[in-house]
Amino acid sequence: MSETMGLRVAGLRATVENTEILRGIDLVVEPGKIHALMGPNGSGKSTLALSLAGHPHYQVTAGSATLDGTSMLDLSPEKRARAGLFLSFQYPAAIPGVKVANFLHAARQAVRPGSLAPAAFRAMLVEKMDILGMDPSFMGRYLNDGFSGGEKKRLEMLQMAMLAPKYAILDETDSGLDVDALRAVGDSIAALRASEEGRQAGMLIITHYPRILKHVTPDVVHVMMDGRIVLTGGHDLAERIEREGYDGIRDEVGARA
Amino acid sequence: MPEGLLAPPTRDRLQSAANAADVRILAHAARARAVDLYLTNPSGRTRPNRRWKIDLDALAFDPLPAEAAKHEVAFSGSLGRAIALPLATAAREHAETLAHITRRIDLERSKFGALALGLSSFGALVHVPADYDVAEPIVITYNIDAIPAFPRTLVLLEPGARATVIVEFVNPTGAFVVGTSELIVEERAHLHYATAQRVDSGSVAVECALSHVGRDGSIALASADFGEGLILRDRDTSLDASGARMEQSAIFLPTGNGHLDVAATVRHVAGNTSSQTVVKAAAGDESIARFLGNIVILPHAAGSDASLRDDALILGPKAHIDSVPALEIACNDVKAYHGATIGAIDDEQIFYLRSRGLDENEARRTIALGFFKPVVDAFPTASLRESLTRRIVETLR
Repeated sequence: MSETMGLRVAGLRATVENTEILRGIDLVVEPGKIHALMGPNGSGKSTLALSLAGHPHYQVTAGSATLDGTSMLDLSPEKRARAGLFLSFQYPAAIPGVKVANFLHAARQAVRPGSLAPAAFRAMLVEKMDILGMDPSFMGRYLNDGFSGGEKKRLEMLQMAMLAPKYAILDETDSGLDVDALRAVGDSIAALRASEEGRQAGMLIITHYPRILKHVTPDVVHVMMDGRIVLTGGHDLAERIEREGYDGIRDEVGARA
Repeated sequence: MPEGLLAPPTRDRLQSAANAADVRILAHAARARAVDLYLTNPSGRTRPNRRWKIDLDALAFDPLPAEAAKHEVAFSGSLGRAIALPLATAAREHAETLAHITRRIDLERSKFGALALGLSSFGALVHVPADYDVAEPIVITYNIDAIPAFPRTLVLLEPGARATVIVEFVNPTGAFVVGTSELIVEERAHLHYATAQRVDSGSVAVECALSHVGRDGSIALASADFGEGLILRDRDTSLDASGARMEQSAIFLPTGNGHLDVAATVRHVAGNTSSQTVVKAAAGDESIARFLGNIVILPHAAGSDASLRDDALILGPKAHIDSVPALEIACNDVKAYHGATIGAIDDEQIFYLRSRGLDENEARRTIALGFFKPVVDAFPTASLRESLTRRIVETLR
């Protein structure tokens, strides 16, 4: 693999309203690999996700982030998306009056222009919705408008499947989901990675809890505390967190409580 | 008053104009009384704040132009057994139908209704006989000449009749149009009545719309107003008998220095009547929009169900929107709902769409079109809905 491939974050620092949240993040998600990013509330996981996606409320003050060699930090959010980055939102915005089907088509055209004929687009949509256990009536509903928490997360996964990004960041996609929805998320990730477009997709799965990792097996697990990645390991690290919580790790690395 | 602008008309000038108007449509004495009422009626527009740009009680215009008006009215759509005629023709050939409508519509109680009544010499009559369904929309197009115009649109649907009427205006620059919609929907009849217009800077468009709906009848009113001029609408719908229904939908999209003021009243006169009003307003640049939504439920109207939903988007840094709900309920055992939102386009919505590859302008346009969609969908034809969507997109560009 080339030195530039991957979602590569180095020395990343970011502030929100003049408070530093990210205090030097180093992370490389290689193509085709699944990384889990775990950590307690307030450790900066969502800030990392939103900073990488280019949310205007987050100011990156130092460091770099590249996607297969393309520097992202100076790009607009839409150019990051077109470069192949996808963020599954923890709290997706509702947009009344915009039908899911029309939105998905516009988004697909924006990130992968002209790549699918309308009939192929519809066929792909039917297939992906089936994997996620979504009723066809979803397509006629307005984007996230009046959706339950579970419905919103399924729609985020459907978008990921339809946009087939090079790198996807899932920001607590598992939170608030019941067992069936959790399994659907896992199936959706597996289906993306089994598809031609998504075979080389790299993933960064942000979560509090190890339970999503029963449905998706990560190659690498990181633990984040106080705006830094304090520990990196294999799947066994997630199992340890399930047994011990974060306190043991906190003591071990001596991070500020 | 700045130099070059007209002054408000004097009483003499208005009376001369009334005397010059078509006597077959209305006798001179009645016209003289109507213009006096215009001068003495208040507009009903108290100034909510200093942003109010125009004194509506002293609107400046010349009612008596040097040359005769060359306004035209045209009709399209297959009528079948319905009739649609210019008002002057209708006054000759269908005087009884006109009288049947005007006996029940009291234009004189509205300042601008009285003005149109006093000065109008042209307009249109649509009459649909009992139990007849006009399959195609009837489109009335007013081609307005570059002098004051007072078009009156009168519609009578006899019991069980159904029709869609679309009113369009082709306005020249600097047009001054004060028109009426006088709508009678008798028992079991259904009228879908839609109008959309763009009013340019320096132009004035006023509508006084008065409607009566009979037992188990229904009316759907849809209006869309765009532009940089002055737009004023007075709407008053009376649900006269049990089972009468109204659905009212409005789009306001003033831009530039535009000034849009709509007062809509629905009167639940009888019990078991229902009304639903949905307004979507967006004000750009330095424009002003005001919506006064008034629900009146009279003492014997038990079982009435009224709802009013008013959402506003501020698009320009100096734009201003007032949303003024009013409920006058004189009866127990009714349902009345009012909800309003106002604000700018949410940054989180924009970011969400941008994170899916849409650029910022596309994101804003998508959100704004979605905002208007429920009201665009209330317009009767696909071509009208498409043209409204195009106008919204052009306005937001």
